[in-house]
Amino acid sequence: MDPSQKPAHSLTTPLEGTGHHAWDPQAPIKAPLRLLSTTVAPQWVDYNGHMSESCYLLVFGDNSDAFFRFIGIDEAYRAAGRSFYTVQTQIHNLHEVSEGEPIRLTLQLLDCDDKRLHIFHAMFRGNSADLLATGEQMLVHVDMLAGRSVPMPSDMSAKVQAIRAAHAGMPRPAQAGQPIGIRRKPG
Amino acid sequence: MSEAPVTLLTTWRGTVLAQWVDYNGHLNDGYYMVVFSEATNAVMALIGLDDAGRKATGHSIFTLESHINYLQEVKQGKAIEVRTQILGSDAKRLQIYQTMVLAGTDTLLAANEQMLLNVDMSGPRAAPFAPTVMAKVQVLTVAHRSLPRPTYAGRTIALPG
Repeated sequence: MDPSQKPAHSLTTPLEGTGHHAWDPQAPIKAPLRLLSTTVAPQWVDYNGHMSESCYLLVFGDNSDAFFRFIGIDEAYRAAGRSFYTVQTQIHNLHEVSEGEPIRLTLQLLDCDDKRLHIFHAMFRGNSADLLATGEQMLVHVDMLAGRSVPMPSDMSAKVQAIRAAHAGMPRPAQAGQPIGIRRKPG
Repeated sequence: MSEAPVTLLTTWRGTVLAQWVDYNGHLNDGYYMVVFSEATNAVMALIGLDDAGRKATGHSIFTLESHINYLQEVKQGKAIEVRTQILGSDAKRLQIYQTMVLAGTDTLLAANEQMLLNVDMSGPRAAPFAPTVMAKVQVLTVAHRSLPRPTYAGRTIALPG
């Protein structure tokens, strides 16, 4: 095999190669965003038939990819040398989910500045309100060649600000901003 | 145990696999968790909840919460290891802190904190550790009590200012 034909990376996401979303400034922005629904894949489950804890974050990654495409980031954008990197993640695993079950994801933009996005993923069972897991993340926009954070381009920043405005009235999720610790009963 | 110097547990050693590397050309953020989960499995084995221990007790461990600080990019093929510190425990919970470092160095790549819950799989429901497991949990908890609290423990996520 010609080495030049090999992909530059081995891990591919479900949306890879699908381009980015055509932004309509007149379209209402859902609060929260609903960009991904899928089913629990066989490669995500453990010996008990339940989704492995580490795989919840892989699904949140796919939801992030859907969000990136929503604001204009696709393969062409990254090929030009810019992308978002994750700097922090916090997962709450609330309920188990089994292979083949339908799941849907929501995404809330909690906060942002000119180069950072503070996002909150929620994973639900099918169309129910049964919350399976949450993922809170801080992402930073980077110039990959320079290896440093840089502001988003103005058109992307405008989209992010529109999403932030649409999400400003949403309640703050109970799991957001919580440090990990053993809460002991008083006395 | 009281005579030996207190050291972190080395709970995983390996290299960054091609299938963990994404379109950004580095270890994908989700796969840091895959590595840290492997380290958690090693902690489970250390406290007696390997395959045989899970069968004998009917118990297993669920991760309730996990926090990752991504500190440096990690490229394919890099040799890495995970070191684990026990931050605390009670009758059914174990709080751990793990660092991913370049193998054999103190070069910090990522930090991870997890809250683990002991679960009776017949429910499944939260249950106190089995006595044999609890004994090991307590030995580790006491041994690590003298270690300094790690830099990235107890963090929350927020924009500065």
